[in-house]
Amino acid sequence: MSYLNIRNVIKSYNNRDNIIKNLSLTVDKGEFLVIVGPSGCGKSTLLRMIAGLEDINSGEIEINGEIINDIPPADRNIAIVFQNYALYPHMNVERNLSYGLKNRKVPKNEIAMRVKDISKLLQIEELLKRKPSELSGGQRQRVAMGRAIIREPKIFLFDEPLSNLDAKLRNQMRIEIRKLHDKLKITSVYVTHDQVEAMTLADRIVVLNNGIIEQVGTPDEIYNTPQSLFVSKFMGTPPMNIFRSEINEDIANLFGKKLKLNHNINNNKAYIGIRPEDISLEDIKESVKVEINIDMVEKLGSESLIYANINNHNFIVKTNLKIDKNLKSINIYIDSRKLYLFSVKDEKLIKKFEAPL
Amino acid sequence: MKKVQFNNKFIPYLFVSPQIIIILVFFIWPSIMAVYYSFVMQDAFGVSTQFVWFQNYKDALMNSDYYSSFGFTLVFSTFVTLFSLSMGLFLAHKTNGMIKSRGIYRTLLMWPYALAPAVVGLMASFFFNQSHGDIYHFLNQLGWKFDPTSDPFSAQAMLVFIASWKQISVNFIFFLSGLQGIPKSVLEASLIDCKSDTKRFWTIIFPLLAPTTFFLFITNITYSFFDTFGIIDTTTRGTPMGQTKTLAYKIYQDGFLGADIGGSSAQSVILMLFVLIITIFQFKYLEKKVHY
Amino acid sequence: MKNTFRSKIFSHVILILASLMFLLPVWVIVASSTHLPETIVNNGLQFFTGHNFIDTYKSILFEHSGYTKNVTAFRMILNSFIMAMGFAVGKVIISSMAAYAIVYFRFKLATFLFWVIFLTLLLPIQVRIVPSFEVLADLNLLNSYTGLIVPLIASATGTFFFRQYFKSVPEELLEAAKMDGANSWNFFIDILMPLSKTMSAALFIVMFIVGWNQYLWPIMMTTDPQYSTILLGIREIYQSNFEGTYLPEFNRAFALTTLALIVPVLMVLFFQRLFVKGLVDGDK
Repeated sequence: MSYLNIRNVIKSYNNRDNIIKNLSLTVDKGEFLVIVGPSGCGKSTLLRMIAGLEDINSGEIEINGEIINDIPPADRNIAIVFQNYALYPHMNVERNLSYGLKNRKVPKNEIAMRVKDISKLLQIEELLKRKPSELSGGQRQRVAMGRAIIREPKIFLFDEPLSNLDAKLRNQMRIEIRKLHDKLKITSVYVTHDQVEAMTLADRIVVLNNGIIEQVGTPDEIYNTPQSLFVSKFMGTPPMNIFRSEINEDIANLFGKKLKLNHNINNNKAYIGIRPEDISLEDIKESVKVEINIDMVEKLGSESLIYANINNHNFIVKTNLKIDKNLKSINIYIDSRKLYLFSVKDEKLIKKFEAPL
Repeated sequence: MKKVQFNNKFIPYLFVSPQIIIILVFFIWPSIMAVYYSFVMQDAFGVSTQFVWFQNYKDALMNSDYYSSFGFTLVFSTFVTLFSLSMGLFLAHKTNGMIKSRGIYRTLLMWPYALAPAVVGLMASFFFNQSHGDIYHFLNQLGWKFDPTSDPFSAQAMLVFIASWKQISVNFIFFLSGLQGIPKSVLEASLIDCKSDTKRFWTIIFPLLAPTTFFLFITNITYSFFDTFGIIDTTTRGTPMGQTKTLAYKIYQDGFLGADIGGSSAQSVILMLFVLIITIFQFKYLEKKVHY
Repeated sequence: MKNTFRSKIFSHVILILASLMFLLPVWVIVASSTHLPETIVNNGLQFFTGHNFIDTYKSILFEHSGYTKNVTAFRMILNSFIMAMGFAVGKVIISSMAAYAIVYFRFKLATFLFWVIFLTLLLPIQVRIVPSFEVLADLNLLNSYTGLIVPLIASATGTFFFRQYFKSVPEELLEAAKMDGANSWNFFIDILMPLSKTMSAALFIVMFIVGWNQYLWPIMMTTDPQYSTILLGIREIYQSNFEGTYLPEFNRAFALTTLALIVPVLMVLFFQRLFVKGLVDGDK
């Protein structure tokens, strides 16, 4: 059942270039939706429009059947966790948590009760009397979350909340956010540029590029069936290898080798995409052998990344075989059953090849 | 101070010496002399001097002139500080709320900083003048028997107005920059937490401006004590009936024009102590402020 | 949304009224300066400009006449300019040097000297006026540019300003310079001062205005009209206007006022950003 409904929304700051171009999106009740995209794609703008911090040029935003375009932020019953937390520096943690409730005339004893519950939930009971400046990054993060949760909002908005934390803390907080969501089941919209956050947190992911939705889907769908070249390159570390290729009916020309596809293509040009982990270093069925020049080998512990080139095309291979660092070249086997074909014209997916299990 | 520094015994003194020498000659030495003069009495020709302990202080403090000057200075600086601070804040807040026109209003409201108090005083002396002054006539038409040359209250009110007018721009500049220093996301968070503009201003914005306000509070007091000299000297010159003399202006009149060296020096020393107290107060606060 | 529209209009009205409160009086003075003295005496202040602009300003700038018999306004503007320039440049040099010593050197008297500099804040001219005059007289500095400028440049504000800024310069810079073989003088001249260009300019602009607007100090230090600044000039001319018995030449007084305020006002308008930086970053 759709809870948050965004219909044909357009946003521009100067009436010429639209930051958000006729965007429609629905979010179900209790769902955790992650909007991911490169910086400047409009994802934060979209979030801020839901919050009411930005006006909408045209279109509608509806929460639970009520159009909220003209409702001021404080009356939308949403909560937002900001990138830099935006805690009130002159108030201690307790007052930070209760400020929004006081302004909504919630009775004192109820405020006290909720502060107690929330600080217990987030393990910040000892910090209640401290000022934000006396907190660590992780603690501030928790308080910011608490300030949002305590109001029991209809919708929870996150604006890259983890990007100011160090890597370890980020992983930990990410897990906590997801756990919290599983417990509270508040409809959440989470904006990030980090695809790992998107993949791990989301029920559904929206990939946004240039104010346009490239694809909406579950993390698995996004990763396994990217609907466009952009999504294929943006999601996945290291990103998918993409080559332009001549195609004659069902024969693709790849670095001078002929690769038979079990699919007929009408256009004679296409992008061929191969995930780095789908490339094999051992001979397998229905594959072509290509010799690549190794530029560098990066050892990541359990696996290695081979940065290579062939005819000046850069190439990344991910493998868990042991690779000699001094190796100059190596043979790889490209499996014709694990390819993606994208149209040259509109960069959309033409066909995904899947190896039978 | 820096962790990484130069270690040289001689060179730092070279760098700091120009300022220190000037300070010693033109600040410290005259101040010591002021303290000395405050304890001696000279005859009219400066031939003989006599050490009189606290006689000059007693004379100064026993004098009813001193009290009226003291009282005026307090009332004057209170009102000037109050008016110019609140107007500065009010206009800065309004300006900050503008998006496209912010820059224009900023320019229109900050340029009076460039006007010297004396120039403002001279211009005002014309507007408040009986024979040609528009404001003079306007006030009298309103039914107020406004006459700064004979009525002390008129003169005092006029000075408060002129001095506030001149000081608003400074407060405006500092408040506007203070407002722009508040993180945007904190303002947005408050937008979600609180609906009422007024309440948001007093619970979030005003407390966050506290360091600026405090700094300006001190600045305005110092301004009304000392920098208003130029305004007073170009308008009332302490008249009528000596009711518009600030303490600093009285020192100037008694010492520089009236040649009462001992008395004016004693007043100087008292004023120095006052500035000292204000400064200590200021630094105590600044230390505290570091916590957030 | 309609509500916010109405409050927007209200804010504009307030801000425009406030702007006029500052602009109008000054404009009326400026406009009146271009009228004949009779017009002002008979009809009061003028809102529109008149036709006497060239005559009045030419005579006041270049002729030894009227109430400023001994000195032309041109000379007084020059004096004000020398004073403001000397004050601002001197302040930048002296305070950057002192701040450099305090921030970048470890030496015995550092703290003590810092407090000596700090002490100047406690001693505005107004409280040491008579002895200051005597010191200047003893040193034979009355009626000289040195006497007008030098005693004023030693106050602490500039030193605090640079100290604050130097402290924000990354430490690695000094380490890198040391690795490159720079001595303390090289570092100051080749690295720190070029780095502080904007800050120095900002301080310069604020100090130029402060110097131009000095009032009490030149009153005390100058008796010779040849050293009179423009501020003293208008003080004189207003006095004689109000005290004089014949037709007051208010146009000349206003013209002199206009000349006195135009320079600092233009400074603020042209260098707005730098000026605000110098003011706000410096005084805190």
